[in-house]
Amino acid sequence: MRIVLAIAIWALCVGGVRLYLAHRDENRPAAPPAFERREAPGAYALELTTTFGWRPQSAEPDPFSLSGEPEAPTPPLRVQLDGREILAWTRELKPGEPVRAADIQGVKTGKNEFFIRALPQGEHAGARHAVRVRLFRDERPLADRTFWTEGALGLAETVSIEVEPEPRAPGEAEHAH
Amino acid sequence: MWRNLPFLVLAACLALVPARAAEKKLIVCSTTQVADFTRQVVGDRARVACILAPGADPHLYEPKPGDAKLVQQCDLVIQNGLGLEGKNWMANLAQDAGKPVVAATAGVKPLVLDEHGATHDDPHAWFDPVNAAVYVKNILESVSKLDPDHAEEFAARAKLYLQHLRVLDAWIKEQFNAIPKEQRILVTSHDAFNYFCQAYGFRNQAPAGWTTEGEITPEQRQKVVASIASFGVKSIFVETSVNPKTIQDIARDAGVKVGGELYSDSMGPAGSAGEEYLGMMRENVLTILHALK
Ligand SMILES: [Zn+2]
Repeated sequence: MRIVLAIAIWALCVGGVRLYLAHRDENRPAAPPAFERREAPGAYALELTTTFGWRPQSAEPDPFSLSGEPEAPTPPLRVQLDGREILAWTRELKPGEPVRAADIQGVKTGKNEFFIRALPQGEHAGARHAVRVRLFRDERPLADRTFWTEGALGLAETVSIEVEPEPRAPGEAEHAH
Repeated sequence: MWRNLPFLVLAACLALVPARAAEKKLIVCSTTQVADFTRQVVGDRARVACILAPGADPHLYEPKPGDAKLVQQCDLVIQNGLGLEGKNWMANLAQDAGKPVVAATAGVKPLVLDEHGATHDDPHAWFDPVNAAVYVKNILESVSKLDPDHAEEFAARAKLYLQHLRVLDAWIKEQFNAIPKEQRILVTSHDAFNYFCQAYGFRNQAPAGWTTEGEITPEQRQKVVASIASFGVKSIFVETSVNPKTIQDIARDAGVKVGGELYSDSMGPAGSAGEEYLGMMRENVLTILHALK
């Protein structure tokens, strides 16, 4: 008798908890609709200018990188928008010569956050370097900012750029702040 | 009957608890360094157990009955490899329990030591942060195979930790720049610091050779005393996992200071600055810098 009662109570407890776990989410309010952002009209291009150079032929494999092949060098410049890579520079980089990512897809109205990674390597590693970032809309500058690299980490910076639904009149470009 | 009721309810509730905890994989590591790197990659997604206690010597370790039991329950064994685990104790434990075993040093370019005509791969590879990155990548690969559902998360942690290693490496180079190259001589109990010395431009002298097994001969000791005098070394160092007596005797004979204690084959106990790899390396660098500058 005791054992039957014990099993009955055990089944009740376990069953009750399982039932609760299975159904507790049912009465939650539905998730709010995802925040909608509209694709911004226009053609977008990003230009980066560095004070350091880089040559793929002389690039050493980067021991602290996880990207790609174990022997592949780390690109000196990388840009992400909304988690998508829009630039990974693997060709020769010359100081003062701009590098361009044209026809950028996925620029939305409102704030767009670009993640910029610049890594001076070899003889340039560790020294302070500047990286100028410019965003163009239909070939007109929309934003112009300059950043400095920090020691061995280089530069890892998010750049938030506001894009309005309608292009501004020429000469109204946003300035660095 | 009813007085038993609260216990029955409690027992029933407890029966539900292990179902959740059991979802976590158990990874057993041989050394404190390997366990730290593994924790940095898996975070709280897996349980990481370390066989060696802080301060224990991996060369001379004799497995205890509890170790075999732990390995029986685990899903993966990660060891240093390159012969650090004396008489292959970690791989043997894994083999006896039928568990997969991974060497964190796979792919490291080993330094080869020549001792009395016999050559060995030097197992102390973690002392170069570039090799530490290899450990982390090997661990990432093996835990991602073990738990593919969380592979992306493991990679994100590994990526962050590799950046820590990059900064550590650059910081060490910057610090040692303060010691003139000809003064960069590291005398330690046993030959654990070859990778460290190679990475940061030091010359290495250790009376005990690459393993802590066996006593050092009076000739070996005399050789070290003589080289300390000829190079004008200011300080020599004891290690956390090795008996300090030999080094203390050599310091007395050579008329130099003991510059401090270095974390070597084992990291520090919980709560110490050396309980994690980054802290252990930082403290070693500052100890050496303080003694040799
Ligand atoms: Zn050792």
